[in-house]
Amino acid sequence: MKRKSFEEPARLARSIAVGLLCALGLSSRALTQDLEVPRFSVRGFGTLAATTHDAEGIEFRRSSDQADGVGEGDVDLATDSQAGLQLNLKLATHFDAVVQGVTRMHSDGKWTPRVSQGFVRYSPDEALVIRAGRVGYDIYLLAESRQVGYSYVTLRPSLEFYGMVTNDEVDGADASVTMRVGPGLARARVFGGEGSSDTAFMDGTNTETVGQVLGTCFDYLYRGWTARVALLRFRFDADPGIAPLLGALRATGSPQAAAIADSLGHDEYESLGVQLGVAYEEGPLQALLLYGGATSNSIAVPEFSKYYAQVGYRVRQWTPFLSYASSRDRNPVRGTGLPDIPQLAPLEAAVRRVQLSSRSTQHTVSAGARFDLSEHVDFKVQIDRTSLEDTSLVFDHRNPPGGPANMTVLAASIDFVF
Amino acid sequence: MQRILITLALCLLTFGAADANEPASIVVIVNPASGIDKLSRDEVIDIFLGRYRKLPSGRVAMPIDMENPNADRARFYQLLVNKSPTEISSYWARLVFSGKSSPPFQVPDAQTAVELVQSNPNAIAYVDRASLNSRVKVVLEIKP
Repeated sequence: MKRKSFEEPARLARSIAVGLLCALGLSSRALTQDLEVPRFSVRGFGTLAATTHDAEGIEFRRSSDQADGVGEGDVDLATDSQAGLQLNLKLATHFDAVVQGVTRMHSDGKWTPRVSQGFVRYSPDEALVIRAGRVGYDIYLLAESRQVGYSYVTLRPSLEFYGMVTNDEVDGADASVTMRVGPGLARARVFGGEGSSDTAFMDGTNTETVGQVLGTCFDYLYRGWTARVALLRFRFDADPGIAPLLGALRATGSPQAAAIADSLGHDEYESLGVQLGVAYEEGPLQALLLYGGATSNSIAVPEFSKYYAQVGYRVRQWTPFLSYASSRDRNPVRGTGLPDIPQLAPLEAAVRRVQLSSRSTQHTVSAGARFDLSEHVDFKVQIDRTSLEDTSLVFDHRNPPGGPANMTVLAASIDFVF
Repeated sequence: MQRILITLALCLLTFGAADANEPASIVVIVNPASGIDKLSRDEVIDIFLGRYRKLPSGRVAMPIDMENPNADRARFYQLLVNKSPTEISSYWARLVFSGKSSPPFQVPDAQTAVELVQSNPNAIAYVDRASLNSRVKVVLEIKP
């Protein structure tokens, strides 16, 4: 796997922001079409959350890039907490720029702020929008960004649906076109660039896989309805360090072991994903249905089907909600078929480890409520009942590890924006 | 006959009382030089929720919102999309922090909104019908 630091683009984005600020001088307001709109603005968001659960030997994580989870009976403030700051700059009539930094627990266990967005946007007439830099891509139908807890009803995005997606931005560009079609609006968007995926492992190690992302997304909006079809391709170089394993598998002479080696032995891994979604949001009712699926060219990259359903109903300041999420790996973990002897055990273990690091077969039923304390602050409580089957989303410290388990996760949070 | 007259008088008084208590409708206004005569409810929703701000005339609309708290603002979004001010704030948090769109320009009161619409052919605002003057054009009326 190709490794790359986040720091280089982060520094670049910071430099761009500083340069733009200098170029704009000290004026903080700009005349745009006779309206005196702010030339730059600073906004922020954050979530402070306490999380606990009851499953012995399990560490619960919010996503697979978190280095640490919360243990049984512990109350942890790190799992669901995060904060961010965003700077918007109006450059000219049709140009503006956005830089956003977020701090949360990363795969190295640190909370170092990272640039989650940093782009220049060109929009001549609102129908066409072109952005270049670090841009987010569309995987959230109702919330757009999972970092901003205040913007959605639930306490956290579904683990089953989003837990394996660790970085939802690309260093590249996107373009979207919006037009009236029939009674509603149709929007098409294409995006591409360099993306990455972080994974933290139970032994304290972590990897960052960097590859090429290409995707497209079609939305149709009519009153409270939004329908979406999205396609995503993620290509990344295979880890050269896997070569000795491939050689050893082929050297056994076993056809099954050789087939495993062939599946692992691509120069480039490719994952193709699709997402279908329908959301309804009008008046006090908010409902969401999502399907996600992915195929790949190697057993090292997961193939899965995911489902998510959510409904919430506002009653004054309260919005109680229910959700169900399911993720299922399409293929069983493949073995080498080699004889069960101590000399070949490391080979078998290595093949299993490659596959097990990205398993996500589990499902969750959640219930909770959001209470709006003010126009910029909310309070949430959520309880999740999760059935674990074969998953790396949690850290499993049981002896022996693996196998089904049930866990109840309880969390409370305060979200704010300014 | 006298009983009928009394009943009619009571009915009229009741209607009068209802009219007096009923809040005036909210009107969506544009500059007379904007090139548009009317907008549909869906078009106004798209403009004020940042979905699509291109007007039928080809101009890009510049929506003007009221600063919160404001009774007209609360009533406008309640009538338009049945959303409370906190839900609108939550909605904008989605778009703003994903770099998708910017919320409407905010002004402190209806008078400022009307003045901006008078002076800008791209501006579009909502006001209580009582705040109207002849130098702006009504393109949609949203009744309670």
